[in-house]
Amino acid sequence: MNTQAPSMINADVRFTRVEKKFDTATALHSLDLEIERGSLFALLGPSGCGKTTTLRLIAGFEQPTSGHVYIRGNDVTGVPAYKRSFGMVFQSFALFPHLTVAENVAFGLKMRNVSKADIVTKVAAALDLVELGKLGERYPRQLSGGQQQRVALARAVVFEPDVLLLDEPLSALDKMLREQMQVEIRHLQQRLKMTTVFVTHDQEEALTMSDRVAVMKDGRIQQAGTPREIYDRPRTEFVATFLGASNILEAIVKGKDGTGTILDIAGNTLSVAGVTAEAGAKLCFALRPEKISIGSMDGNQPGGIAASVREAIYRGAQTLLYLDINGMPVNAVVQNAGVEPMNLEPGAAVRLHWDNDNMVALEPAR
Amino acid sequence: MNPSLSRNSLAWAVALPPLIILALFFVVPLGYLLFISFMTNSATSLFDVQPTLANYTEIFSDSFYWLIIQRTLLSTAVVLILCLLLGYPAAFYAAHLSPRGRLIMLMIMMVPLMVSNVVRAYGWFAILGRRGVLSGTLTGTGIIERPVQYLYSFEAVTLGLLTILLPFMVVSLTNSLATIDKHYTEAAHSLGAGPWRTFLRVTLPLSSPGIASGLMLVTFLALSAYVSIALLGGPRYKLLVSMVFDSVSTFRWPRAAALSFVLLLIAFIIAIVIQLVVRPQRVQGKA
Amino acid sequence: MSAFILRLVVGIVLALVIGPILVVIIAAFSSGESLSFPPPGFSLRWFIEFFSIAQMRNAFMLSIVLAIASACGAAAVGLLGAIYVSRNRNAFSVMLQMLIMAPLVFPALILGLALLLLYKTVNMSVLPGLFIAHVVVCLPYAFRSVLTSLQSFDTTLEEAGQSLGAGPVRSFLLITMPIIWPGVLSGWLFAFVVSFGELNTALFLTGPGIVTLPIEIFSYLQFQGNQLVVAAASALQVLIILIVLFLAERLVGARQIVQR
Ligand SMILES: Nc1ncnc2c1ncn2[C@@H]1O[C@H](COP(=O)(O)OP(=O)(O)OP(=O)(O)O)[C@@H](O)[C@H]1O
Ligand SMILES: [Mg+2]
Repeated sequence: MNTQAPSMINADVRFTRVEKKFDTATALHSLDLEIERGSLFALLGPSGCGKTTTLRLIAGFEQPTSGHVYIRGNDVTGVPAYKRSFGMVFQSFALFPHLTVAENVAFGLKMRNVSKADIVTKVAAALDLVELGKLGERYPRQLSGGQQQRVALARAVVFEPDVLLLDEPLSALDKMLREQMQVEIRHLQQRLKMTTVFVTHDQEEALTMSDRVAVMKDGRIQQAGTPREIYDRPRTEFVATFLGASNILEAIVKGKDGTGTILDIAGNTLSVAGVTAEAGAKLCFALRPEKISIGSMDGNQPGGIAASVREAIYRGAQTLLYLDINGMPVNAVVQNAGVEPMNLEPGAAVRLHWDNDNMVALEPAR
Repeated sequence: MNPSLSRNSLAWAVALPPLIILALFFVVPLGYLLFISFMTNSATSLFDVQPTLANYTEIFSDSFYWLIIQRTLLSTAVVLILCLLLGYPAAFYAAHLSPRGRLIMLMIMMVPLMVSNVVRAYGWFAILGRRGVLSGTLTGTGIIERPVQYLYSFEAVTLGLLTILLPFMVVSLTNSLATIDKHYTEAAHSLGAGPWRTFLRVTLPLSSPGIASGLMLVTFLALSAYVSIALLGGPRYKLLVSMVFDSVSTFRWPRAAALSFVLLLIAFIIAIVIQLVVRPQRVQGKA
Repeated sequence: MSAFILRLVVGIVLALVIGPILVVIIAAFSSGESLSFPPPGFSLRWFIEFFSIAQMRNAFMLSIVLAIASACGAAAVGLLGAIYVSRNRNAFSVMLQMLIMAPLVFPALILGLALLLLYKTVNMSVLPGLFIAHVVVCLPYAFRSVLTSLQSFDTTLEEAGQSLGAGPVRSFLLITMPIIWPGVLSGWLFAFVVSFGELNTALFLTGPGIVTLPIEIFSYLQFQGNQLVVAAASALQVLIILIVLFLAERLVGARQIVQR
C-alpha cells in the first residue's frame, strides 16, 4: 500500500521502506509498518509471504537490504539482535534443553547483569504469571507442550523487553490447547501492556487475538487495520477471500442515479452508493455469504434477486448454500433458526436479499 | 544460519586457524614436494635448483619400476576385490541386525581400525613367520616337515593389507546399507522380484555410493601402507611406496618426491576407474 | 544355504580382522623366551621387560603426551572449522571442508615426506614438527565428529540466546557448547586414538630420542627382533585404545563412536 498513514507518535516498531532481498528472491518489497505501543499486532498471510522475515527484521536476526527499522523511536538498523530489547517466542519454543525451567527464564536477566536476588524474585513472579510456579526445577523435556509454551512466554517477558515477538507460537499445540493459549496470551499481553507482534497464518487466530492485523502477500502488506475493518471492508480480493469466505461479484457499471452507481450483476440491476466509476467499467465486489438472506419464491417476500439452489450442505447450526444467479456462482450461509426445514432441494428457486452497503468494492488486483 | 556469527569478522576468526594450519602444513609442503620433484638430485643439499624432468623419465624408462608398478596395481586390485567380496556380505549381515546388534558389530570393527597398523602387521608377522603360529601348528601336526617362511611374499602382503583395510570397507558399507529404505526392497518384492533379483537390481545399485567410497578409501590406504608392506613383504616383496621410502633412506629427495607423485597419480587413476565401474552418482542424493 | 554362506563370510571377516590382534595379545602374556604357539605359560615378564627398556618406556610416554596434546589441538581447530562450515554455505566453506578432510585419505607417508622436506628447509625442530603433523592427521576425525553434532544442533536455540541478550560468543559458550559437547569429546577421543597409533606420517618425522611407540615397535621389529617385548608393547597399545573406547562409551555413548 502506498497510502501512508500519518506517523504515530508512540509507534514502538516502525519500518520505513524496508526491503529484504535474499540471494534468490526478494522477500519484502519496500515495506512501511507502524505498530502502536501496547498493542497486539498480527502479521497474517499465506506461506512464504514474508511474515517470518518481517519478524526477524524486527529482532535483528536479519538486516534489511535497504530501509530502516526503528524500535521505540531509535533507529536500530544494523544493530545485532543481542543488543536490541525484545523477547521472542519461537515456533519450536527453543527452550534450552540443558537448563532447568527457572534457569531458562533467568537467562535473559543474567545477560543483563541483574543481581542474584532480583533474578530469583523476578523468575518466581514470571513463572507465577504463567501459572508454573512449582515447576522451576524441571527440565524442558519433562514438560507438556502447553507448559513449554508458557515457559517460553515467561522467558520472553521476564526482562520487560520493549517488544514481544511471537512466530506462530501456537502451531505446535493441538486445537484445544491452542484456543486456550490464544486467550491466555491475549490476557497476559493486556496485563503487561507489552507491544506484541504476532505471526500467524490462521485468520481466526489473528481476528480473535489482535488489536490490529496486517495481511501480507508476496512480500507486501495488502491491508492493515483492526480485525473489523479488515473483515468488513477488505480492500482487495485477496484480503476478502483470505479472511473467511467471500463471494466476489463481478459488476458492469451502467450509469448513475440520485443515490449512487447503477450496476449490472449477472443480469440484475442494483444501485450502490459510494462508488465512483465510468459507465462501462468493470468492478468487483466482495459480499460475505452470511450477509445474504434467503426468501423462497412463494411470494411472501417480494423483490430480491432470483437464484437457484445447486447444493445445500447441512452444518448443524447453519446451512451452507451453493447458489446460481444466472450462471454466476454465489455462496450463502443461513442460520438454522426455524423449526421447519426450508425447502432447499437442488434446483429449488429462491430469492436472495442483501443490504447493498455490505457490498465492498475491491481495488483491481495488482 | 546465524547472522551475528556469520558476520564477517567473527566468521573469519573462526575459519582462519584451520585454514592457516592446513595451508602451511598441508598445501605448502605438498606444493614444495611437487617443486622438488622437478629439481635435480644433489649430493650435498636437498636438491639443486635445476629444473629437470629426469626424475619422472627415469622412473618410467626403468623396467624395474614398471615391475614394481605392475605389482602394486596387482596387489591393490586383489585387495580391492577381496575387500568387496568379504566386506559386502559382512556389511549386509550387519545392516540387517537389530540396531543394537549392528552397533556391537560396528564396535568390533572399530577397535581393530584404531589399533596401530604396526600392531596388526605384527600379528601377521607372528602368525606367518618361520617360527610363527601357522608354521608351528603345521609342523606340530606333521603336515609339513620343516618350519616354512610364509612372510615376504605377495600373499603375505595382500593378506596383511586386506585385514587392515577390511574394517574400513565394512563400516562404510554397513552405514550405506543400513540407510537404504526398507520400502525399496519391499516394493521390489511386491513387483515379483525374488530375493536375488531384488538384491541385484535394487539393493546393490542403491549401495553403490557406499561401495565407491569404501573402495576409494581402501585404495588410498593400501597404496600408502608402507609399514605393513615393509614388515610383511620384507626386502623381497616391495611395492611403490617402499620405493619412496628407499629413496628417502638414500637421500635422493627429488626422486622420492617424483615417486610420491607417481603414486598419487596411480591412486587417482584407480579412483576414477572405481567411479566409472561403480557409478555411484546414479543414486546419489536418493539413497 | 545362503544364510549359512553369509555367516561363514562374517566369521572369516571377524577372524581375519581380530585374529592377528588376538595373537599379539596372547603372545604378550607368554612366559616363554621367544614366540611359540601355544605359549608355554602365562606371565607378565614381557610387560616388565618393556618398562625396563628406557627407549620403549620413553616412546610410550611420548606417545601418550603427544596424543593428548594433538587431540586437544585437533579438537580445538576442528571445532573452529566445524563452526564455520556448519554456518556458511558458500564455495569457501565447501573448500575448507574438503581441505580439512583431505588428510583422511591422503597417503600419510607422502605427507610425512613433504613435511620432512619443509621442516628441513626451515630448520623446524623435531618435537613441534611431529606435533603439527599429528594435529593435521587427526584433524579430519575431530572435525567430522564436531560437524555432525553441530549440524544436528538447532540454531534457533542460539537465536533464542541472542533474543535474551547473549552475544554470539556468549551464546555459543552458554548454549551451543553444553549441547554439542559429546560430539567435541568424541572428536577428541578419536583424535587421541589416531595420534596414538599414527605411523606412516611419523615415520620420517621422529628424531633421536624423540620416537613414538608405533615407530619404536616398527624399528624393533625390523632391526632387533626380540619379539615378545614388541608383543607386550603392542598389547599395551591395544589396551590404551580399549580404555579410551570404554571411556568414550561411558561418556558419550557407543552411537557417537561408530557414526562415521
Ligand atoms: N534465509 C533465506 N534465504 C533465502 N530465501 C529466504 C530465506 N528466508 C526466507 N526466504 C524467502 O523469503 C520469502 C519469505 O519467507 P518467510 O519465511 O518470511 O515466509 P513466511 O511468511 O514466514 O512463511 P511461512 O508461513 O511458511 O513461515 C520466501 O519466499 C522464502 O523462500
Ligand atoms: Mg514463517
